[in-house]
Amino acid sequence: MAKGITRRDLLKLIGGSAVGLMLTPIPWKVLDETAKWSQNWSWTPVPRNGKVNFKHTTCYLCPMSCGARVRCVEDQPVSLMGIPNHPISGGGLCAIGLGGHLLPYHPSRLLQPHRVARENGRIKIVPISREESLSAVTEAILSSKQGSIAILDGQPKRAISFAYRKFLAGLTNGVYIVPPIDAGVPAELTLRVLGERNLSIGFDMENTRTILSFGAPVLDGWGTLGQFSKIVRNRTGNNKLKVIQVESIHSRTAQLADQWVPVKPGTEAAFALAIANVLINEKLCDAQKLRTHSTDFDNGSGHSFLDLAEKFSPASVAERSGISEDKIVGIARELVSQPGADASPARKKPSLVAFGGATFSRDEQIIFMDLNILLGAIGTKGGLIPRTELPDPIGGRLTEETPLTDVPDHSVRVLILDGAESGTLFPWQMLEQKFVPNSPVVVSLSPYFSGIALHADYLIPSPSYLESCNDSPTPAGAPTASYSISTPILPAPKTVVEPLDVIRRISAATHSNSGNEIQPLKELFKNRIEKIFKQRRGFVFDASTGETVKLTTIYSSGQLMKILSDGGCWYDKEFGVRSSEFGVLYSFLGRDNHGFEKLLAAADHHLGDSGLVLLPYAANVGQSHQLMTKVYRESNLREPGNEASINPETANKLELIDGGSAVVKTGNGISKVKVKFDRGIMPGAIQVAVGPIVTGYAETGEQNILEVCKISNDSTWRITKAEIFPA
Amino acid sequence: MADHGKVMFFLGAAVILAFGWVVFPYVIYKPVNQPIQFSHFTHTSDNVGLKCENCHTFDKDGRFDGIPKIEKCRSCHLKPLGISGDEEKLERNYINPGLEIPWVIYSKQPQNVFFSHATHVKLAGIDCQTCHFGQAYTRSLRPAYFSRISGYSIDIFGKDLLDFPSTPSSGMRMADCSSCHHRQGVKESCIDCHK
Repeated sequence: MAKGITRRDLLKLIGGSAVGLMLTPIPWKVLDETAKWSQNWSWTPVPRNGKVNFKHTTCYLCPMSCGARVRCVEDQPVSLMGIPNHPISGGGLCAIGLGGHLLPYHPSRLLQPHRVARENGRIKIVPISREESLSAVTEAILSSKQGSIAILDGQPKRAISFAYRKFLAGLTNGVYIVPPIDAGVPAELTLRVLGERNLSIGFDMENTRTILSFGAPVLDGWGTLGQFSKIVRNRTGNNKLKVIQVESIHSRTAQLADQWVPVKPGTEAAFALAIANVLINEKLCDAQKLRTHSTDFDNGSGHSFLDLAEKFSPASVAERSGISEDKIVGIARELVSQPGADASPARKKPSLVAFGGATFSRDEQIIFMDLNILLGAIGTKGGLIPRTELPDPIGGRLTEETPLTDVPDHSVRVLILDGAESGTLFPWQMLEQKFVPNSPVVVSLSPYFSGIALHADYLIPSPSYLESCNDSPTPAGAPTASYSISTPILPAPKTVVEPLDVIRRISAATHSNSGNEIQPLKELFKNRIEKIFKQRRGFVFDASTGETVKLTTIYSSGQLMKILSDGGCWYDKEFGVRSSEFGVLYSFLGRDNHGFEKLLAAADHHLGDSGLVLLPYAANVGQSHQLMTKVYRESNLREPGNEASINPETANKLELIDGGSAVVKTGNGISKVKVKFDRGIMPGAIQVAVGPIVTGYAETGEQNILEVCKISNDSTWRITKAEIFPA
Repeated sequence: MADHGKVMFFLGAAVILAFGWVVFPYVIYKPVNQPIQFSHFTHTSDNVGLKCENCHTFDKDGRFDGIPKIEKCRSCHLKPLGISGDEEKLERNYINPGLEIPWVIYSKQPQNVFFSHATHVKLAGIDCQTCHFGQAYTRSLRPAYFSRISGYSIDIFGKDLLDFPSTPSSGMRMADCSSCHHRQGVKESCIDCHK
């Protein structure tokens, strides 16, 4: 019997040690400590230690103008929060607003101008100097013999917006384009229905009894945060605000609403006319008054609104919309009912019709507006309220605002994309079809290489959020006017360029006759604040004290400027025009000669029961912003952009597997998606969220779902016939 | 032969288990002594009678100043008040040349987190002794222990070697904060503590 230690004994010793090791804290503690060590690598950006202080500013990441309290360590912002009692945001901030201090360090941030080269479907960005970039844009403008020079401004009515309009007015072919707005009534719609071009209308949802919403995400961050929190608060108690959501998509608002009306895709306008039909036939609206106050409600021509509504009886619409006749009639009665028989006129609240403006065609929007007129919601507290406009910061000749849908196709030679986020989503094709066929030039002033900037030829980045001075005019859907200023907290890198400097430089080089008159941005703010001060109306919220005072107690425009520069806000509480002052004749069919036929076609429009339809959806920019990748990746707060929800019955017929890969094909292209079974989706529909492309800009070959949507003649893009098959 | 092999197997396991549970905790943490052995007891006893807030003050803006600056020490110790070697060291090395004492911080949080003394003391009205039990009566300062790998203090991530992040321990991890908040019925959100 050998006594020495053998090789086998050593191996057993090692084996025993290995087993024993697993039963000690050594491997687990070393692993844990190594993970913590990896947080502290030298290149990890770390806010320095120092004195904590707070500054106030206004968020301009979308047009909603929320007040932001910035927690800084020395001069470095380390967190953002809402400002308590802020009149617009009510103390809240959205997810992107809360993380706004990180945006200057986002991987998509651009720190100097670039030229974009596209080769074999791949995008390559080449750094160029500031001078090179400005010279290239100037040359493109000077050489454009045909086609227009356009600026797309994501947030119109700002001081810089007026500078753009002034600059474009100096060109012979300048066009100032505003994108579709989602939370509000577009000016062109106001003109066509109310005959007033310069009337801004907001939704007074805080004082409404029932909201009939056509696809508007009223319970999912629509309008300002202050409005939203009041809506949520008003949805409790006996006389609570009711929400009826008419939408094919099983959206979050549909889930939270008192009633979800899942109409078949494309039948919303027909449904609205069926409601109008019931209101008229059951004498639930004041027809006599409407005859007096309109030219085309009932003019005996056989082509009036009454005749249009007659064509859409609840019985006929029930079949095409998939909503029963009883339900349509019930909803119409619900809209005009008042709780309690003793509801005095003073306590009566109107119902209003809200609509996600960016996704419906102009004619469909007119029909929704008509419903508001029938419900007596125009110019009434709790309805659609006209508000006062802010004074212009610049005098002289300005280019008119042109809605994107009104820009002629194949007309734009040079397009400058302002970096401000409009808050409204639309497919790139809506812009692309406006370009001249040969070599259009697209210039992005966005601080980021994301979103529509991915389609630009030149990138001239502007300062990022918190680095730039900006002003925030009244949010689109707000019922009263407001104004605030965003003061920079961080210094901007010297290599980025202020949009105003771009305009002034191009203006000087192109000898535009307005360029030299454009004042610096702070002068424009000052001009506007002086005019607001002279009006002597409204209230001023001081963020440093949290108090609100009447404007009349402010002793100078300089003091007002100081308060606004420190995160304060001026706001109006009075409505701009009383309903009795309106004095307008309603145009139920729109102010053109073919209104009846157009509206009839819009309401008759439906895709039928054959085939699949693609329903892209996204509530607003806070939920679908390309820079929100962290929220999408780590929290499942929102559906990612490449996830297709489909009814299991439909999916089984198409041999799709839950969780499997698939390809969505439309007339515009294909998009790879991941299939998710959801019984909440109506059969025959594919619902895909418009989320960010989480793989980053290096993978832009992968299409966003909006890019395969088909743009209809009426600029509608929300419904597209599609196929889906396993990948 | 088979028994010999078993002995070797269990010997290996026993040695490593002993090392892992007895020796490793001493190896993984590096003790660091404070530059001066400060006696809280001397300062808070009846002879001197100082309260916590006499030295650990809040700034005008409500921010906790933490460890007092050398100026605070100087206000009393311009001349020796006792006979201890540490007091002599204090005067020779720090007060006379006007240098700050490089105190070793026991519970420095990771950079993505902050702890607000102001919120807990001023707003919630929690007494210092609730968390720093007995600290006011210590006669010397214990060494601070830092992980040799991550560099974090044992006072943050706790003494538990089997470290399950979701369970509270004796440190100042998120689970510890949450556990106390839940016990007290205090709501919390991410940005309360995370920068």
